[in-house]
Amino acid sequence: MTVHSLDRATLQAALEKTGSGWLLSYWGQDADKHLDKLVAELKGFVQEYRRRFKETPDLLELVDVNPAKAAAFFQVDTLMASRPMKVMIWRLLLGAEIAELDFQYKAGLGSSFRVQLVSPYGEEETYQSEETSDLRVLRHVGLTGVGAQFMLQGYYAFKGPN
Amino acid sequence: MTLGGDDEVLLAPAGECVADVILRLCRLHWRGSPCVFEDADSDRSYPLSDPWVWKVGTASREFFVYRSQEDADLWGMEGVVPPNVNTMFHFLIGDPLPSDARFVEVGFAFDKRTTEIRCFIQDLRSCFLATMTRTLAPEAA
Repeated sequence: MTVHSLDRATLQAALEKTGSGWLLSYWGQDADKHLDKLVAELKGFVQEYRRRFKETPDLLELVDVNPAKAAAFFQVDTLMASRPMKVMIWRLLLGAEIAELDFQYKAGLGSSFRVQLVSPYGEEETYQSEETSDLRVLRHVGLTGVGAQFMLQGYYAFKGPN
Repeated sequence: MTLGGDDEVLLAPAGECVADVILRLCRLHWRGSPCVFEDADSDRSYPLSDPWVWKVGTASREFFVYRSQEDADLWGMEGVVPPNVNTMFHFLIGDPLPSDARFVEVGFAFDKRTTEIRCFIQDLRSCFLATMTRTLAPEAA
C-alpha cells in the first residue's frame, strides 16, 4: 500500500484502526470535508519527505506492520503538526535520535521551535517551525533514562485524555 | 538458541511500542558499536541503522539485540563463550497481564549480572515508568 491509496476511505480506516476514530464523531457531518483536507496535507507531507530523503513514507502500511507506531502518527497532535514537524516525527519513528531541542515562546510574539536529530546513519538533520501549536508534539517525545540522566528519545502515542 | 545466564522480568505499558524503547536503550548502552537486531522467528539480523528495524522490527514480541554483527556471528557459531558474555540481550514481551491489562511483562535475558547489567536493568525500569506516566490514562471515576 502506498501514498497513492491515501484517500478519504483509507484515511478514515487508518484513524479507526489506530484509536483516533473519535475524530470522525467529533467532526460529525463535516467529517468528509476534514478528511479530504487531511488527505491533502498528508500527501503534501509525503511529497516533502520524498523531496528531502528520496524515499516515500508508507503511512498506511505502518498501520498494518506496527500499530503502536501508527497510533502515534495518526493521533491528532501529529496530524495537526506543521509539515516540517511531521517529517521530524516520521524520522523519530524510524529511529532517529534527538540531539537538541529548543522551544521558545513569548506571549504576543509567537514561538520558535527547533529540533536537531541524528539519523541512525549518524547524519544531522534540523527541523524548524514557528507554529506555537507544534508544542503539542512534545508530549509524545519519550524519555530514556541512562544512569542519572534522562535523554529525550522516540515518539509515542499519547493515551491520556486526548 | 540456548539461553544461559540470568534474567529479569519488568513491567511495561501494554499497547505501547516497548521494543522501540528497548532498542533505543540498547543503542545507548552499546554507544559506538554497530548493534544488530534479530527477530526470534528469523535467522536474519539487521543493523539498527536499517529503517526496517524501527518500522517493522519494533513490532516484534521476541527478539535479540547483539552488540555487533561479529558478536551475532560468534553467538551463532559458538554460543556463550568468554569473549561474548553479555554481548547479546534477549527480550520477550508478554501479553497484557490478566490481573491488570494496562501492563505487560518484559523478560530480559542476559549472561551475567554485572554492574553494567544492573545499571541497564535500572535504566529499563526507568524508561518503562516514564512511558507509563505518559500513556496510562487515569482510572475513570
